[in-house]
Amino acid sequence: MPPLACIDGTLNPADERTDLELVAAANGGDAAAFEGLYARHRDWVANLAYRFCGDRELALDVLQEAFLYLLKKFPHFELRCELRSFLYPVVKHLALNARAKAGRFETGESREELFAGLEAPRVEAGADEGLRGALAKLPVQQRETVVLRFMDGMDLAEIAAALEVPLGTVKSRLHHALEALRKNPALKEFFE
Amino acid sequence: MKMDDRDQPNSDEPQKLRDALRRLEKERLFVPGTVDEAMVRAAQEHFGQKKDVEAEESSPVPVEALVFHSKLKPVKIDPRVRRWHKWLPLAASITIAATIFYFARTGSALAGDLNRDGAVDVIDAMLLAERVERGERSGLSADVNNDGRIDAGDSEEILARAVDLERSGS
Repeated sequence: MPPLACIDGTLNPADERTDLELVAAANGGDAAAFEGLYARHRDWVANLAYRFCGDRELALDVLQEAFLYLLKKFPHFELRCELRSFLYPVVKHLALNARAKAGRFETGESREELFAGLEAPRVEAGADEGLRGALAKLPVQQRETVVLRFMDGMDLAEIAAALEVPLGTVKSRLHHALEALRKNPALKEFFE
Repeated sequence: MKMDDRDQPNSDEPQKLRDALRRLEKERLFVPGTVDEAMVRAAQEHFGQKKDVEAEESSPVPVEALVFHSKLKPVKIDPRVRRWHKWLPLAASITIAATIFYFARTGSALAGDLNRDGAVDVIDAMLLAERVERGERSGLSADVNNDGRIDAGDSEEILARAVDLERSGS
């Protein structure tokens, strides 16, 4: 087995292999390849979990659970989309469960609202606060699409795979969301 | 409207809006080294165990367990059955073609494997529940309870099976 590249708790620089190559190597028993996947996607998963949970400790638990879930898939894991698209529903599900177990659902807060992943208490002062308010008014599915597109920087195909919807649906949701934001007078400066 | 499939800004996605939305998540979560260490340790254990299992599986078969085919008597085939032998290759070909066509059409070799990762688990249950709720059932191979329709019952069935498997340690 190749040596693991974790020295004093720090991960080695990113592996240059693609996700698909790392998955193939991990299927072959290469633990370092799995570590490469973890190093590459750790921060994204952690912040996604934080966005859903709104709690640092819970988010770190979800981070570990998500990668343990992925780990158990080996050596027979078949990656048929981008890894982030695969991990998105996993993190969402785990975060939702973690939050429910911790009793952190607030009155009137629906699962759909949580799925939109925007309720974490991280409000910035100023114009951005208006933007957050405008986002909150968007239908949940449109909001989720906007968040994945702009905050996570996912391309449209990745979003379609993550949400298990056709590409056309993603385009449509994004289009309608942007139109709604464009019509909001408080957000005029963002469209100039 | 034309929108790129890749992560490139275009006229429909103003740069100022893009930047402002990214600023909304200014606060990033710091992942302590202890979490990384735990993850790497888990990977080491997991892949170490898998290696052990593979080593056991690839160990040589004891001689007494081997069957010597030369000692077996030739099987006599009934003449009535022999008549159908010439059709067997054709029947096999049709069966294989039908199977390939079915799975190509449904897109998954495993009923309920919505994320197509080769296993049916709680994530598939969640994905199915969401799609059923949205009324998007066409093209799904997810009638896992074999009641002739795809609905919340299938999602619950997947979940029940997944939980059983996890409990049994599979």
